[in-house]
Amino acid sequence: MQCLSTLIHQNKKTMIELKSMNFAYSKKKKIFDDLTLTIEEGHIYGLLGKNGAGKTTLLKLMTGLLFPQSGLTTAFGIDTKKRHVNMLEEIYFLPEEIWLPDVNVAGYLKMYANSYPRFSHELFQRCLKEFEIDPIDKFKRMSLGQRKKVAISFALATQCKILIMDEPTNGLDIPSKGQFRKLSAELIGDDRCIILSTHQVRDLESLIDTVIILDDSHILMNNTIDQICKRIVFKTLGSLDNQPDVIYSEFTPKGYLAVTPNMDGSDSKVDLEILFNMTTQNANLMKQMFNH
Amino acid sequence: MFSIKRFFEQFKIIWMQNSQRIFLNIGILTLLIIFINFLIFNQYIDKFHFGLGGGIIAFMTFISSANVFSSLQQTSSGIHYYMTPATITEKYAAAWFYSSFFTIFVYSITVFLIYIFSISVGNLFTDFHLSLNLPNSEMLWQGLLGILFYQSFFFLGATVFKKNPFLKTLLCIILFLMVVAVITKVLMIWLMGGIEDMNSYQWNLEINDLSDFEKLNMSFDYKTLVNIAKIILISIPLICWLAAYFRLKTRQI
Repeated sequence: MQCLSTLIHQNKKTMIELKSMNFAYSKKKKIFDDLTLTIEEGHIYGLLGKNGAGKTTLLKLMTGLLFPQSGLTTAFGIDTKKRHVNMLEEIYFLPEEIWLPDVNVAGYLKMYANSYPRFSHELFQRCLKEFEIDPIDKFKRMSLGQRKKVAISFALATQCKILIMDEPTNGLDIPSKGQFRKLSAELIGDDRCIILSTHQVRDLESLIDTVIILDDSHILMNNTIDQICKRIVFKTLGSLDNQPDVIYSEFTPKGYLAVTPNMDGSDSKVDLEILFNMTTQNANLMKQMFNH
Repeated sequence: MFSIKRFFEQFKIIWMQNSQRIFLNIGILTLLIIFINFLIFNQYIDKFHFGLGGGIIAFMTFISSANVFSSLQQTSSGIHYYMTPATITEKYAAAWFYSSFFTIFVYSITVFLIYIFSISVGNLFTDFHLSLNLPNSEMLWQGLLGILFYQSFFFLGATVFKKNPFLKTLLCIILFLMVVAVITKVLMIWLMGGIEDMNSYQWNLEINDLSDFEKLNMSFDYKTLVNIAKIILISIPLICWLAAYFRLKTRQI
């Protein structure tokens, strides 16, 4: 079964590849040092990192908005620095702070929809309906959350093979976060991938199937939820006494949220917040466990 | 590969972003010029129109050029700009065409229509009976070249300056002209053998009147100097447009 899973994993097409990439804004502080990362089709990646870890910078490097000082960044095998039109037609990047021109929804569609070969007007209208957005309103009369919903709807409707979203749930109300998860999960196909950079892991926990943890200019983890579950177990304990297997724990009002190695193949729900804290605090242990 | 379809898509984006502002500008200009016309309508109205019209066309072209890459002034809009599927050449060509020929055409038509309107209405309500007096092709050509020369500076400025590209470019042009003036003066002193000779020279001579120059025993070929100056004048806008292209291509957001 594991062999079959590995085979399927190997057959997946590489969408974005970063090879021995170095990047720095200034000579004094390197943001990425010899970073290698592969993004494959069919996944929803969660890019997690502390403030200033370089999540947005990494997304910009993947899309050719920034150029690495050395190494290679490619999307669909094309050097992202070239900003090739075939690449741009298949990557949609939704930044944290969105920008919309001073028009209404119809005007925006007139301006940009034709640039995306597979843009679906039906899908766009459906997303707007789900988000309860009135398409007649001008953007400048909309709230930040409403404008974000329009931008997310447009991003999903482009049907680009790679959809990159930086903090997509920032500014969304509670029901909209659920709608966003529903729409994203529905629209991801085997030949597409979504990369979500977020601080708010709880918002996207149920959506993400692969976790990338970024810290101190390195990738500490790049594993699927399945791989994580096979190696570690998340459990709640009343006390840590006589629990020698616990490799990480956090005290909460409900008890100790603990992590132990998965010795007996038991199943547990991955707690991304615990996973992130454990990985950043025990980088070497995690590397050993996940064979990095 | 350059795509005409994507070029027009890019042009459409720029037009839709700016159309409201253009219509507002045209409305304000129309009212302003008509108001001035009715205050001073007389036999000199042609000269007034050529001067004011030319100035308006030039000014609006410079403003349009300085703001044609306004998307690059903010990170979020810059990301949107660079991620829109089109090559840099297509984006550049659309911006260049919009900020040069398109703007010049739109404001020329506006100024021309206001001129016709002013003459027609002025003739009806005053004692003057003026005919339409249009600038000749030589004047139009010289005017177009002059506008394109300075447009290239503002176009480059739009890719370089993040904030207030118009004012910053204007300042750079003033500094550039001052430097050129100083260099020219130094060169003239050096070539003509001293400032005293220059001052004593009668500057109302015809430029091509080489025999008069020869009388001054000058140690340079005046025609060569004029040709060099022409080459420099043609090269400057080409260099600015080329520099703007490379700046756009290599800019990181």
